Amino acid sequence: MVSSSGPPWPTSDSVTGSARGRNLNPPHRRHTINGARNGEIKPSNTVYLRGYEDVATQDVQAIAAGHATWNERTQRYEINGRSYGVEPSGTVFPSSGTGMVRLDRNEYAALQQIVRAGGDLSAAPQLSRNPRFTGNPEAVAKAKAIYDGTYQP
Amino acid sequence: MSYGFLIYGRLDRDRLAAALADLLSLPVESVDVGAEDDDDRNWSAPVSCTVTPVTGELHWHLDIYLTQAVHTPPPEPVAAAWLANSLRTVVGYQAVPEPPSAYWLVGPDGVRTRARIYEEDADDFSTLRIDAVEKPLAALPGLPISAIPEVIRSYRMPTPVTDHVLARLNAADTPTDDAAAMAIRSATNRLGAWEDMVTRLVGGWPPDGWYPAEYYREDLETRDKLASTITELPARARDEIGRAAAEVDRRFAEATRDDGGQALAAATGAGPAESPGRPGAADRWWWNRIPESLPWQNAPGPLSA
Repeated sequence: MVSSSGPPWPTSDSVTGSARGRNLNPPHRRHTINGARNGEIKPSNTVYLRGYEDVATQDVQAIAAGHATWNERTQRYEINGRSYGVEPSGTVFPSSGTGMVRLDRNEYAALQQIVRAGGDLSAAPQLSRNPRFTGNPEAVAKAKAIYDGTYQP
Repeated sequence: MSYGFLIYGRLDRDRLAAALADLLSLPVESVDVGAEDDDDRNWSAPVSCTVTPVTGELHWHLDIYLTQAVHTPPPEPVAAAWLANSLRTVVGYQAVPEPPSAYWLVGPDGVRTRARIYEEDADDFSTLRIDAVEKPLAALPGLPISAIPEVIRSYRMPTPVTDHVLARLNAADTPTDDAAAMAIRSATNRLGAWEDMVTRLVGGWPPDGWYPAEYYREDLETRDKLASTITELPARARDEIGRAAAEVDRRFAEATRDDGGQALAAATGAGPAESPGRPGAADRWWWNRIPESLPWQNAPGPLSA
């Protein structure tokens, strides 16, 4: 059973690893499809797929409650088939797993354009002009599938 | 290829274009600098730099894309230092993919420091906050100085002994129930963590030449858990992982000396040997061993700044 109050969610005394003693906050919204609209384009970007938008809150609460498995080798918490790290601030970040996808710079930039255009590629002129996208059509296709909810890992 | 930079202060686009052109040995006409919503971008340019204002303690994000027409572009750290010097300001870039807060900041004088930069959610935008730097930057005085240890373990060490055990166990198709499979997984994870630390120790504590006392203690606790887990394993896995642990232990012993656990206890409090009643404490000899040079003696922070 997880706490319904918060965030932040204080960790239970049984928690080991990097979350120990911290108050946990859910991942930054840049890790969601809609949050990619204004997210900083980083070398590697983990995003929740459609249908998994709400799992972060449940997972973070479970980590705080001591229900996740701490993997000493990867320094990540494992819960519900997903792995998470914890910043010193207590903000949890998604790493990999069920319902998540990793995007490189080109892919995340394409997703950003598609989100801003509401999924309408014709309303995202950069996609047909910017060499980042014209030279990497597979990045645009992946981002579009993620936006449409049809992406298959 | 792409670069991603954060810039402190005002941004002169013409100067930025000239700096990028110099960096890449291109005519300035080959560099297009513009905002996201500019209509008059030169998309045929080999270099596209989209500048976006950000809020908080850094002020611009540069998203730079290089087409294949740009040959042998310098790596991101070199480009960041070049821009910092050319623009006479502080430039930031991501140090490792995770944690997301792990950055480098480089000043116009070439001084580079690790930085912890948080991207915090506000109402409709994100704001950047420099939580700490490991070394002071003359161009950005007043930043909090402290060690940023959380990035260390993001630089994974090779673990050939663990990898070999995993390969052998996988090849053996070890027949186990769920509980046994979980125990094997826990044991190999702990063996990998222990080997990671020992490899780091032998290698002089990469990436930055130091290791926090708290992490060293955590790794000894992981070795404790490995010892406990091994006894719960099926016979074949117990033999394989036991032999592997002994091999890693041998490397650890060769690289350390016996100080009775005093140095670590002084830094983090008593170890299990000083905890009466803790089962098996007497057998956990690793708590008594430490490298000749303390791993944490070169920790960055206010004292070394």
